Amino acid sequence: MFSMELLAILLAAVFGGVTAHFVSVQLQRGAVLGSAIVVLFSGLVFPAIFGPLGTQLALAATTASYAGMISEQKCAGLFPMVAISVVAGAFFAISHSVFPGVGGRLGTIAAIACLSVIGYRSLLAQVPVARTQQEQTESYAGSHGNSGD
Amino acid sequence: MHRARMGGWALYIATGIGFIALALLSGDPLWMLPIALVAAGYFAGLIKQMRNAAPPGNTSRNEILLTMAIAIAAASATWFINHELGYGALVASGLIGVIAGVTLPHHLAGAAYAASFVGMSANAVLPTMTTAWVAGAIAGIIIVSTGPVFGGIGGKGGTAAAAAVLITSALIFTVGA
Repeated sequence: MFSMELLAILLAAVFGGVTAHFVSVQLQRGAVLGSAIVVLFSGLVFPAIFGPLGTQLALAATTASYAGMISEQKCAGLFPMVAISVVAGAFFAISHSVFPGVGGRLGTIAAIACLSVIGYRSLLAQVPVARTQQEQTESYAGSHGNSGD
Repeated sequence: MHRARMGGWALYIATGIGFIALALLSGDPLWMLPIALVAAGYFAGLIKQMRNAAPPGNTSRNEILLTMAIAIAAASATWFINHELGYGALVASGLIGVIAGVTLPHHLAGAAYAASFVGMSANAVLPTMTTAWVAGAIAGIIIVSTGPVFGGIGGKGGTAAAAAVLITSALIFTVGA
């Protein structure tokens, strides 16, 4: 299930996603340029350095770079971007037989990774709110009961 | 326009769900649980995006035609660099993306880059330049029709491109059959 190849793919994905997001948001060069620079760099450099594995690394970095096009409002900070990149890289590694040769396949994986992390973040964000509401209800019930006494 | 928008959303969502379903069916059984967890988060994210969607703006006819023209040009240029010049899909799309990002306004650059993903398709999927044109035009329609709903989500353009390529493949199959 886990291998050095998968680890390399995940590292390439983190590189691609974080770099694209950094160029897009921090350097304010726009999402398209942020991703396209990573894609061009990966496509030229990784296969030349790493051979056949380099092609896979370039594709993983490209997938995550599409995810790195996510806006600052929806993904602020390094940790969420790393999480999205890891999900994108892992999903790329395990879904090689889906939509083979179809343009947009990598972007679809990126969208799934982005929406998945956004979904879990929104679910987690609701947990403290739900707890606070429960505490408020209990507090209200307690004070209401005391006043009755 | 409202119907077209709903159709665009449905196509976008169906492509993502179809991809996850195929990954579940064809992947290693050991990966089923992680894929299912990703799928659960995906649905939660979809619901959040649909709830918080910005209201659709009015897009002028000229704007639609310009987006379509740029989508067709980007898809066919990427396909040409990829297959005819032989530089490969990544270099072709990256090059078109850099040119679009530097020269075009933000929304048109996004459309051009999304359509360039169409041109990354393998020869077996889009065998001729004409098929790349058709897929680029369909991608342009999907990009215009989805509007701002999934805006700001990484991979929106890729999903639109994948849907366009799959529709074109079905058309090729139908016409060929």
